[in-house]
Amino acid sequence: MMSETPPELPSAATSAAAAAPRSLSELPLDELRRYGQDLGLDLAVDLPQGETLRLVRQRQELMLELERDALLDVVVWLREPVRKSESKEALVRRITRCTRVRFEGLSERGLHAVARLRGIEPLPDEPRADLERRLHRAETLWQKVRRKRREVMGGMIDKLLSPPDGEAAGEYHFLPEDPAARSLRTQIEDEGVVGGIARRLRGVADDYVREKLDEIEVRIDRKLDEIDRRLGEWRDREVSNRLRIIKITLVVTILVALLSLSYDWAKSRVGSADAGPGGSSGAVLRPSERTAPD
Amino acid sequence: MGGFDFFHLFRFMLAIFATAYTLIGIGQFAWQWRRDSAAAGRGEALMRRYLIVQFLRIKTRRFLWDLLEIAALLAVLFYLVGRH
Repeated sequence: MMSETPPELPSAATSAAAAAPRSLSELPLDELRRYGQDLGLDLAVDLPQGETLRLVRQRQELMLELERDALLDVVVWLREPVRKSESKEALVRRITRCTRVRFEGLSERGLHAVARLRGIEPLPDEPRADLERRLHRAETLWQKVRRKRREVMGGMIDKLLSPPDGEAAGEYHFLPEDPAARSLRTQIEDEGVVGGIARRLRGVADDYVREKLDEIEVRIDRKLDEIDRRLGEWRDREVSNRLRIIKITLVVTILVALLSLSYDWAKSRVGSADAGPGGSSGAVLRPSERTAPD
Repeated sequence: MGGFDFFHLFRFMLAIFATAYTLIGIGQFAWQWRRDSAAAGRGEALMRRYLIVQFLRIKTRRFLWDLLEIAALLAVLFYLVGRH
């Protein structure tokens, strides 16, 4: 029996506060935004907490509505390595990373799931081609440019690195399920009463420790990402300041150059006025204005 | 002394001092970076790589307007220098 993640709670693996499960409304805005972005939402940085919360809840409702088989169709089509028992949320995370707009080989229900996750509601009895077209049109210009660039780069690198007679992709296989999921009865049958129970207890303890270590790792990763983001902002500010300094220096240099040019001009005017009409002047002339005496 | 021009002297000295100041500043900066980045420790190597990554991550598009302004100012400056 598979248990789905409750809609009110982010999964333990994604919540920075997984050690003590909290409801979405208690999450800080940055964690909530990150959680929503992991689920494929495009959340602006200045979006208020209330609106972010609403969108995340909407996405969770959508996840509950989507069929697991449709999501599995998509991950198989994407050839993402997942277990068949993976939660819907984990599948959605995998799917939302994909930006493809060509859907050859994807089942109808899979296509509908992708469309809904990209914010496009399929119409009843809508032909597949129309839906694909709508998905194609939903791309922004920059997304299109980025995708094309990646396609070109991918093609070039593939030509360079892949063998000329590239073998066709084989049949997709799900990842094997967790071996620790064997029943206690099987374990006792295999290893005896004491051995089986001891292994089960050890397994539970190991699982607990592993889960906690994973949570700690996720939190550390998140903090490191945060530090990286802040350093990136600081770097951009620094570059911006340096450019401003360069601009100020250039403006001052231009002013000095203008002053110098005005001085030369004024001096040449004064010199020509002193010399009188037709007389030779001591004014400084530009090389192009100097002429040899006849 | 009739041909002596104080403004020309000022302009010449200004150019000399400004160039020297800039070259010394850039030299000091480059030397400091070289000294800091040449350290062989693991921490320094990590920091060096991280800085390279940060540098590569700079998005030109974000500073496009500033760069255009600088290009325009440089064009004006070269024009004015050419008029001398």
